Amino acid sequence: VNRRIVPWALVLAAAIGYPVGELSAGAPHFPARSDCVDIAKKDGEIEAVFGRFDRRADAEARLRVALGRGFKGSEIASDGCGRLKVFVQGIRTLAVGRELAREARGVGLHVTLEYAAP
Amino acid sequence: VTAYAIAGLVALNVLLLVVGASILYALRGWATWGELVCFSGVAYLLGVSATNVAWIFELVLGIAFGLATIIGTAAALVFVAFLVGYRAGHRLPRPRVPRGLPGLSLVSAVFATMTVVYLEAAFRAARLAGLYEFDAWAFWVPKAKAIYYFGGFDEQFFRELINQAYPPLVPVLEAAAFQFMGSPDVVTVHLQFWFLLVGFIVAVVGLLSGRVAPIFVWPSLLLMLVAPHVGGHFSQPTADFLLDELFAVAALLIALWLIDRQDWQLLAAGLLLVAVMLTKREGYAFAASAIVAALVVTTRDRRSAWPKLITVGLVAAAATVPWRILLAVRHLGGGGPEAGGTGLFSNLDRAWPSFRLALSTLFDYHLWLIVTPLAVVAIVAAFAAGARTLPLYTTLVYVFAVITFTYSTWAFPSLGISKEPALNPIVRLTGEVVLLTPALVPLLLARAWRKAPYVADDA
Repeated sequence: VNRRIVPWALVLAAAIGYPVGELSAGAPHFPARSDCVDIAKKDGEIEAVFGRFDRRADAEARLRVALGRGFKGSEIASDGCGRLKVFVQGIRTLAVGRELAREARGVGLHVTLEYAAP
Repeated sequence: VTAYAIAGLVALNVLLLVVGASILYALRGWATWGELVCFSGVAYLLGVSATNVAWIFELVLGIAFGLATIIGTAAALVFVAFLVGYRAGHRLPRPRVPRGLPGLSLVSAVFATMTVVYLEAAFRAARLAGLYEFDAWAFWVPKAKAIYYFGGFDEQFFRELINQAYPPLVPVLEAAAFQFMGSPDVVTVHLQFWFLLVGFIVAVVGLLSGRVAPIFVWPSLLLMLVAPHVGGHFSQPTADFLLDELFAVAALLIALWLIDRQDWQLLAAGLLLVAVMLTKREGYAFAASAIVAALVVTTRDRRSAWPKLITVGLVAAAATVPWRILLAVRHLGGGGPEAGGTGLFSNLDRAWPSFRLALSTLFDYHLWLIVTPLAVVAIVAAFAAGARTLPLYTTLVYVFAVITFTYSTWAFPSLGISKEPALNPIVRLTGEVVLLTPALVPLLLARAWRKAPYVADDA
């Protein structure tokens, strides 16, 4: 083997090997809006979310429905991903969250239990 | 969309490289195509400087900034540079198929491998970096967007922003990047700063290779790259790292001129210094520090050296006048210190804490690892080996840098005595010394190592 080739081969192998190794695990993931939804799987700072909306009018309509059906702590806030969420915050345990979700289903509302944004 | 934007950025940077290569042809020419490859980093930074300075002149004159202006200006620069080079007697070498690979030592190969992997990882990080840095989203990128959308320095918009009087090179470069990307993509624009870092590394390696043993070049370069603050901030779309990259290469070219006395080195440094002064306000202090340091170390042959150094310094400073005139016409403040001049005396109690802050930041391991101690050791070693010119030049540049850092806190009483970026920009400022180190330290270490085969004798 030509001695001159070895150092260049080392550089080339690393230059190709590193990105190939990284990309073999998949292309880089650019954060999407769905990444703002962090579904709760155990106890913690949990929110019950009644929905996400692009338009404030739609969010306010859902808020009125939630308040009208007895979820007095409901409010609107930005979800950090350019949308507005209607939600109840301050739920400490998953059991309480599931109870709230069951009550919501009983009055025709769909709820997702999510961790509050840090 | 991202692939299209990246392709656009590649095209822009190839354009900058072509302009820079033509300027290198005008300044010195090249004997072989391999020599051009070796100097491609310097050529790229010369291209960044020349095109951006020309674009700034055009914007000051009110010429609309668009793709036609960008490409037309670059084409004009290439044409003029080749004409100048041809008139100067430079000729392009004949293209030849290389007989084999150029020599690469094992030391170079190992460190080049680590550097390449670092840069690939840095590319991945920069490709998806968000616009989080306060200065970036508060005024650097908004200025670039304004140039992109309005085709110029919109008077009302610039007046509404903070730091209106900051030099415009970075917003102009970012606006050119937006044009080539097809949209003001504030995520992909981070990659432009990756290209600049690559250009800086290739420039330093190219200027030092064949002159300094690889063992002195690569470790200090890699040490700088892995410093926590470099890795975390080089791709931010702000002016700090570009300022340091341009200045470090300019200071290296002046150091090489002190050894070789080849005029092209000083002329290239002068062009880079214009860009330095049009990148950030402290660029004036940085440029003056390199010129004054060179004046001091050339006292013995001042008759031949001083006229050249002073001319380069004055012409470089004069090239920033159009921008200063625009600021004056629009009654925008020049961005001077809050307590400059006699104001320093009424804030004397800040002098010592400012000095201590500058030094402690430079030597902060958690920011810059051991880059500054390495520079100190290299200077001492070079002096101990009997060298005078290079270590004295480097010492003076570093001392002037510390004075500048101290002044930057002392003369702005609203800044806290703190390394907290929200309170004081001292960490960003000290990047000057850190990026200077891989440029100047290899020369000093080579001089100190008496058996080094490539040592330039500057004693």
